[in-house]
Amino acid sequence: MVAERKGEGPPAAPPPKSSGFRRILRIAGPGIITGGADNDPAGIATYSTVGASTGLSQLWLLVISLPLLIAVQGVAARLGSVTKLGLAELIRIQFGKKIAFPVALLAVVANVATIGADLVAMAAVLQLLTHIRLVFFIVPLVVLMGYVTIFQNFKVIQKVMLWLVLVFLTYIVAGFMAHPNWGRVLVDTVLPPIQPNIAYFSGAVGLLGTTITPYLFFWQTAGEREERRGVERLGDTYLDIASGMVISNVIAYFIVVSTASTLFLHHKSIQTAADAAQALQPFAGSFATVIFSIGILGAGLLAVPVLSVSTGYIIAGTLGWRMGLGRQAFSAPGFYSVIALALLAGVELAISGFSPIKALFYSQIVDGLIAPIILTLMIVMASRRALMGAYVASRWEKIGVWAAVVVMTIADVALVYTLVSGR
Amino acid sequence: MVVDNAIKEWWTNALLNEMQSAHPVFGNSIEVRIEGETVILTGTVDRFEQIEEIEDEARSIDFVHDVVNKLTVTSTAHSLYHMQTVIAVFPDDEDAKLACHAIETAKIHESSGPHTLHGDETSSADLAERAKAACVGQEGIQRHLQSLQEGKVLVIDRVPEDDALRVISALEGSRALAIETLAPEPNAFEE
Repeated sequence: MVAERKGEGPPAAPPPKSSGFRRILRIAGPGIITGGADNDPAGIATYSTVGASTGLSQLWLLVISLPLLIAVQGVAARLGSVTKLGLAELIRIQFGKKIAFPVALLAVVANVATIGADLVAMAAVLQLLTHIRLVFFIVPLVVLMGYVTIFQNFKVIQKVMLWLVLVFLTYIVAGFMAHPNWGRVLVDTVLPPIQPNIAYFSGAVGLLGTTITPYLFFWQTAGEREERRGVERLGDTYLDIASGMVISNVIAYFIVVSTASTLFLHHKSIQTAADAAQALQPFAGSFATVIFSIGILGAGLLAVPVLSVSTGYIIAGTLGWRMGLGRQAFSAPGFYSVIALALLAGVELAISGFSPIKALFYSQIVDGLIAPIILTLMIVMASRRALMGAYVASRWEKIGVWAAVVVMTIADVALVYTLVSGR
Repeated sequence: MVVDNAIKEWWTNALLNEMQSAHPVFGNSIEVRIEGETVILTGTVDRFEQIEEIEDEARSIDFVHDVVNKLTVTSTAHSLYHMQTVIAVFPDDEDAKLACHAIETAKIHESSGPHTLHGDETSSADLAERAKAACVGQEGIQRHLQSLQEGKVLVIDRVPEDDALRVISALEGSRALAIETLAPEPNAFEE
């Protein structure tokens, strides 16, 4: 049967105005996904470790990193929106292969190390729940994520994954139920209690490295390009990014508050996933482990594909290959092969016996070291009128990104100094 | 995707052959045709994103299995978009002309169409005009002028911004040595 009809009646009415929440749902794009992926299992481990080892003393970093993060991701989105090219492509075209190749190499190493660490974290919570050795979960997890990313519509599936990550909102409740000293929380949030020792600065580099992360710059630029919102909707782009980053940093803030109010207060360190889950006990009691595990799995199922796709964007962009999640695997074979190889390399790292904590630490050190370099390249490009025309970065974006460069560089230098001096 | 109940009702009725009224938002401008379990969308809309919005609406109906989307953007809607110039570098004229053909089949907007530039004065003037419109100055086209001087051929196409990525995708399947864009042109809204 072929039924054909043409609508009759009054002319088209203007679209109904969206309420605030509906508008956010409508514009939800790479920004909110980036916020979700920012709190990957490695990031949650870092925030938990920072809270357990240095208490509330680094809360201020999460507050000051929020506007910087919004500016950084905003500039990444602006570059993609204006040029319709990926970040790696732009770096190659604007600065040449001699700069593009080393930057891409370091970013790929950091991505693969983070994939390995995230896989171990996901397998560890499955071990916690099932008491089956974590090594048996790694390959099935990667097969599942690889299949979804390469053969299914990952853009649809990732929006579902975001709801799983919302489990981490329980940290906000847990933070309140742990009854922290709110006066102390407030003071440490606004007055930086800097401690000149290795633990403090390595925590600071880790915290900044996991918050302002290079793979998210590449993801955001490419995501904005594929979203095709264009310069006319840069306002929507910023709302999308700000929503994602606020959610991400608020959750990170309360992870630190809850771990500081439970583990740090009782002088307990984090060695295993079970230790990290204890921070949820004030809220969830005996269900803390289950809730923590669901959150880690959701975070990993979102972040690992984002990391592998980001690796694909980096390599394909640097080498000038076809790329994009909007393409079928057969029309961008190089791009999708890199995604598969990145996942396999992550598996190799995860099952090689290399300590996941070391993988996490080194990936963040590399991230922390290359982030200021990539940020500098980004803001230089976004300020070039010859590239951006009338859409050069705003004054606030420039201030935000340069401030991020300065803060991350200071943290890097301080870490190197404390390591060298042994303090 | 969150679909308003009134819109969902319209789709359900339309697909069950009971619908007599216009779409609550897009009015008479869209047509719905059913072939087996496939819904075919035709007609015109004012903005690119509405094409995907309508397809999402159709897909949100439970019994819809497949959607063929043939919606296009109205030619008058061009003034709503910022125009953007895509430039690709080719080793010779033959490859450049093949790429022009590929671009033509990839676009969803009517536009002036792609054309080739060679190392003559007219080409330099054309590029300079595009640079001026995109506010990128002479520096923004320096690399392309250099390519022309080296005997290469440029394919240049000025399209609504949301079509630029389609043009780039079409060019990625060609023998282009490099593909770049000039920044979107401001004030296209008032054109």
